[in-house]
Amino acid sequence: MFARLTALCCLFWLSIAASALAQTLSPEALAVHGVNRLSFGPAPGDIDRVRAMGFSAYVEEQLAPEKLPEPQALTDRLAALKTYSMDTVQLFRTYGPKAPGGPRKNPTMDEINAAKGKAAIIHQEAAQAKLWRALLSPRQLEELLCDFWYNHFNVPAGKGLTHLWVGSFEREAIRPFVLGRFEDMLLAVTRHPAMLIHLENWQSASPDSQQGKGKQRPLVEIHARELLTSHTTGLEPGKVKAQDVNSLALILAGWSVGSPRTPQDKNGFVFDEHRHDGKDKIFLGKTIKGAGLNEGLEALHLLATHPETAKNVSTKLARFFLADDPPKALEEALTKVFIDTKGDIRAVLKALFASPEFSDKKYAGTKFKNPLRYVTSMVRASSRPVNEVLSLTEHLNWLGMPLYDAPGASGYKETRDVWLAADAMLKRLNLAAQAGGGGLPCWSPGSYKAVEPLDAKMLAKNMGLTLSPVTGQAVEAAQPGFKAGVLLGSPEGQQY
Amino acid sequence: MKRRQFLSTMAVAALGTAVPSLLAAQEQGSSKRLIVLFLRGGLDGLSAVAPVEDRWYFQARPTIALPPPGQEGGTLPLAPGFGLHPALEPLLEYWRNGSLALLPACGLSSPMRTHPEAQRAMESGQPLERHFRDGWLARLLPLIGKDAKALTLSPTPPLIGQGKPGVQNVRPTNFPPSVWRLERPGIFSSFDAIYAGNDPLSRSYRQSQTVLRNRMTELDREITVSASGAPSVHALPTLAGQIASYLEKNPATKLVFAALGGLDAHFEQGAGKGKLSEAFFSLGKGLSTLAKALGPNMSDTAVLVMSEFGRSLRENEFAGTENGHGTLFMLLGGSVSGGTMHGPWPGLAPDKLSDGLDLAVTVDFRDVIAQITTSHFGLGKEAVSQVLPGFTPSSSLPGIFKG
Repeated sequence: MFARLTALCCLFWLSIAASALAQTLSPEALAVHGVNRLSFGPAPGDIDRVRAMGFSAYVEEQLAPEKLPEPQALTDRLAALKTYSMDTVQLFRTYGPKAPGGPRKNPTMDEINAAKGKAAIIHQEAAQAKLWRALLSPRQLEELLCDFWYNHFNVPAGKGLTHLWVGSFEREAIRPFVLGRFEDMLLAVTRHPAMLIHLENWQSASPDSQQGKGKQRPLVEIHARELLTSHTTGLEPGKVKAQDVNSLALILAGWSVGSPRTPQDKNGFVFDEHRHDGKDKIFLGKTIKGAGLNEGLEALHLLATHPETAKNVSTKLARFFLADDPPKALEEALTKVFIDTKGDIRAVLKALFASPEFSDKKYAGTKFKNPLRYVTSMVRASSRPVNEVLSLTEHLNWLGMPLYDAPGASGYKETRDVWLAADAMLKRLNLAAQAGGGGLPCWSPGSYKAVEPLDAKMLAKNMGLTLSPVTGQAVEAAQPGFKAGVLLGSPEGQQY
Repeated sequence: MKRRQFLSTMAVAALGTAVPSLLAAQEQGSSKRLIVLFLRGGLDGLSAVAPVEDRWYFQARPTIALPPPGQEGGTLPLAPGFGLHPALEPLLEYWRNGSLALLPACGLSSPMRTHPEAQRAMESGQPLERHFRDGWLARLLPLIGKDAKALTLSPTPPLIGQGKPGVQNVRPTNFPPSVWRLERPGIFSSFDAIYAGNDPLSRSYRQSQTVLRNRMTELDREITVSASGAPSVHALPTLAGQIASYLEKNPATKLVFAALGGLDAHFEQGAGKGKLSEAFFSLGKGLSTLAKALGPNMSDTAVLVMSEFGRSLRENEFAGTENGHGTLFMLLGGSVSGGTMHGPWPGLAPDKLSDGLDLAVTVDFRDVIAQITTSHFGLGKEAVSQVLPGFTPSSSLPGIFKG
């Protein structure tokens, strides 16, 4: 008790010291920093607007996206994507494997390839929708959060039937909850067919259940392990008890995908009692009474309210919005908000943006743009009408960040070290040169006509950049047609 | 220009000394002839005949795609959706008079990415074989007449002519291998000053420059290797005249093979102008020289232009291309069903590519050889199984010869 008190006192003094040292951004600079961090990059006019309304009003606005109408241009673009309005069950019915008619026959390679080729449009359209929204939506914070949470609960397109559902997974299990309660999102993603197939829980059965008896390896623990670690507590897999993993797997046994070919199926989830056993389970030191589906709900509640979960989620949000290595005091403050509000994501974000750390000068312009942000920020700042975004998905493939196809369970990482590796710089500078020269195909009115080079001064103004003398001189000295490319490839152009 | 003249002189010298020893005029069998020009190094078919209405072409090649017709360095209108490289302009005449056929997506049915491997597969005509013993030109030779002869022009006897008697190889000892200059792309110079510090971005920048230099040295080596010592394509205009006069003096010679290098374009390949454009200039001029020198004999001659594979669809970070898959095959001759593109065009959309990377092959190169065997030389189906053991011709390639 005494030690804890001392620790608290130390913390208190440390935070006083820190805020005394901190240099707060001017309102002008805070507007630039704020737009950068709450959006995919400033679009023309954004910075002036936020300067006029004030940063805190901008935060309020972005935290209530439902009040921001989506422009017609965006609605039209999304409406043109035919799979974008389809839910998980419809997608399976339209693009999934066909029900075998007559004697069961394995499909030929040609049939499999044809089906895959037909369904490839889903992944492609999901990626296009993400880019259209990133470029055109006024609800920028919401879009960033969809990206953040998709990576947190990553489902790559490459695993079995998941290629049908990368888009619907985001629409159904993530988007509705990004500013709501963490527990609601956790439940929605855990029971979504995309996740159940990605982490293989759909075929898991308790060895003591009707279906699992006598089977070799009926219980699948992958989903339970990811749920206990990366999805919630953030603990390394080695730091969780094997017994907890096993209990959670038993608790989730029977959480499976429905039979979407039957008209009754509405969301693709089914709880299969025949794979579940009715025994009590010990999970995280608590006894969970044998109660079928409700066991899972209780376990998810325990995980969602676990202190390590609060810490993990709060730290990740601070890393995403502020710095690769966020200050400890901020992590702790946000963790407390998470616990006090029972996992209200909006409240955590509000505290994050209002914190003194967020306005501390030393963090402005220090985060390294990941490829998605690098591409979207240059297109947003360009003042050029965008004709199509499929070409941008290709740029992202090239830069090593194919959308909806991050490997592994934890998606794309946010930090600089991940994206500054190997030949990344070469590729980024090539892209900068191409974009600065006006040569991105997304701007081409026809199929191949090159458009005018971007104007470096206009770009710097739209992005709110203050150039270092070295960058300024290099931009000046560059050949016409290449100035904007130098700007986009400079540290100012690559960081935010 | 100087280099081309130098090469021409060398070519004349080489053939001039070698040809007399080959004199062996025999009684005439079939009047049909085949000349195979093998472009070593991987021909960029997408530059020779550019898909100028395919947006993916321009997307994948921001600096080396050919401008559409009408612009500076733009392509010459050819067929709907396709434009001819301006440096290949001499070929338009044959396209228009119906003696030039183009197969824009031809090659090995499964991708092979190394030059020697793919060249062996193409020359043997048996891409699945592990140990190559003989070549398809050599197997074709005895079928077209018992006294028929074949001539190959290569630094060492090429696989295509090995395994059967009657094939004479001329070693062009005086041909220098194609030489490439190692140059650093200029576009990065602006960033040198910006990334001079010791911060992570600057360190990464300098690292990438080292990677770039090392890779270019590596590529330079690979370009030399890919030519397998073959003379540069710039030798073709001279060589063409030599081949024509040799054939006139040696009517028994029915098959000719010449290997040419200098198509490997790993960096700075250029678009309407540049290194590849120079190579195309020599190719176009060489082919038209050959056709003109053969004159009326062209009615009995088929000239097949082939390469081991195409270049990558995507331009690399050195404004060049990597080893690819599908490529352009050309067929020139009086009996050719010309003025037409043959074989399906797969397009360049991401899901239509081979391995998600390169132009897909829609026409197996062996189908072309099979039709040369049957339609050009008038041999029966059993001949095809001798020239191409284990291969069943597909019906997907319509007739590339008249009649």
